[in-house]
Amino acid sequence: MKDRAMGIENELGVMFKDEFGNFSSPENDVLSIAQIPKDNFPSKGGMFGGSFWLPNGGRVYIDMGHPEYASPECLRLRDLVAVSRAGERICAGMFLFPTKDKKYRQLFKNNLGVGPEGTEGKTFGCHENYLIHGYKPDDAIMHRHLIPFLITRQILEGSGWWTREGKFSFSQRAMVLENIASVQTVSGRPIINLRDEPHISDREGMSRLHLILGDANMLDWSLYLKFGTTSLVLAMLEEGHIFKDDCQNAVAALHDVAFDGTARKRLVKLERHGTLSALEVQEFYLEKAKKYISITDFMSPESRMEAHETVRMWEEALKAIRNRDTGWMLGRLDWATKLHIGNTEAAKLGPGDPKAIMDMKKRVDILYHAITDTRLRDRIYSKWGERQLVSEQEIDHMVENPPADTRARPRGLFVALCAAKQLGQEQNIFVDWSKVRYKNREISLGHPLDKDNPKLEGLMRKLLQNFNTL
Amino acid sequence: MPGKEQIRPNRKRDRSEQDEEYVRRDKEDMEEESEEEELSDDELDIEDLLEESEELATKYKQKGGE
Repeated sequence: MKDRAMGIENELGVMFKDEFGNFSSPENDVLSIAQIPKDNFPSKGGMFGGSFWLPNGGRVYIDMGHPEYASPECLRLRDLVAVSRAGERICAGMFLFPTKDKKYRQLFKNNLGVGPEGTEGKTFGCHENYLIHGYKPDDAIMHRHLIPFLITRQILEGSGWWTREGKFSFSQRAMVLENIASVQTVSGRPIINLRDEPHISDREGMSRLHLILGDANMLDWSLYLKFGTTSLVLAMLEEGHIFKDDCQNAVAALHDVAFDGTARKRLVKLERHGTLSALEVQEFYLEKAKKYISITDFMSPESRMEAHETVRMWEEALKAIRNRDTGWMLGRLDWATKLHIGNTEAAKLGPGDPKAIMDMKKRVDILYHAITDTRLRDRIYSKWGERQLVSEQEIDHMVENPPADTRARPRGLFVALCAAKQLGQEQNIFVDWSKVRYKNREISLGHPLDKDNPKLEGLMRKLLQNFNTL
Repeated sequence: MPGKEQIRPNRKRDRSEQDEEYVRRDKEDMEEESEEEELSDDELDIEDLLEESEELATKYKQKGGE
């Protein structure tokens, strides 16, 4: 099993809250990086090319009016969870400043707004990036073999959503997807996005698998499972051990599974295996994965341990779903935790006003994703603390430090050095996913798993000695 | 009137006895109620958060998109 670089991008929703605690929508807000007070920026980062690059190797920018965090490349799943949580802290700190009329922005890491009465709102992305080996992102055979897994993994990683009609969906994103693969992200939104961008790809590009079907996760387990299982399935595909079958009407099946509610209804039509439930499809992939990790070679003991850990967690999760073991799911699976909290609070209202019950569930639905005010998740982890996979120290570490084993390391160190020397765009410095530039000198950051970059380290040594002579 | 003078303390005594009984019952009821109000093992205490976020259900309308 080859090692793989991975990264995540989260688009964030915004609400205004005034000094009296009243919320208002940001529809007329024009947000830009230039508005952010100097003290709100992380001290070791810097503005390069319209984005604020972070010492952890990731970046924050404004995309179509909302904040977006793109994580650094990670090799380890624990790092990926930690950099994701670190991104929440960074953005919460950056965008918390008063507007002219003394309102503060509250950030939410979810995927849907609330639309006009009777409709769903606008959608926000949670995009995954995986380095893939031996396939191009537009390979139709790869798509065919991944699709049954992808359309059913929402029972593990979905964040849940109550529609205006009161129906609960495993996934927020499922209902806004319309295609298997395309370059679009707004109309005709696909499961697999084919846009070519250098995040997680090498200089030649086109080795990034960009998945845009996933939900934004608040719980460590859900996020770990999403990346862990997907990475393992990709490895099985790359080495020819994949569960092979073709799914008919995959997008329709994705929607049907979202509203299944049990994961047991047979809704996924496969050519060779017949019509299966989401749970059964996942169990097929799990069985393949168990065999695969017993025969494949790993590039390090850490990679072996991580793959075995993923399979163990995957098996536990599917077992809990099959046994309807809500107690196990709380604090681990986002959709189940949100569903439980929403139903518990709604039940306290009694059987009365259906609108009041729906409003309560929608309140929980949004509140669950608050990242400026993290009290809800803090209480979840206060109750089920052992289910938090990364420590507060690991998260804090990833605010200012890059993962140690990808090209995010040299990038993050370079960004931090520029900040320390007060060097920026004015000195003709440019930072990107695949390269950095100092004056007329461009240095490639190379392969996403290149943790060492002698050329860049040489430049940094000179900068440390005397940047004026360069 | 002597009778009334006698009755009043008696009434007071009766009332205080009744009050004690009421206090005792109230206390028991309160204890029972508080036991009922205790959160079950899988329930979070988020009443304060829900109160503060009443408007979220209707006002979380976003601009932009992907």
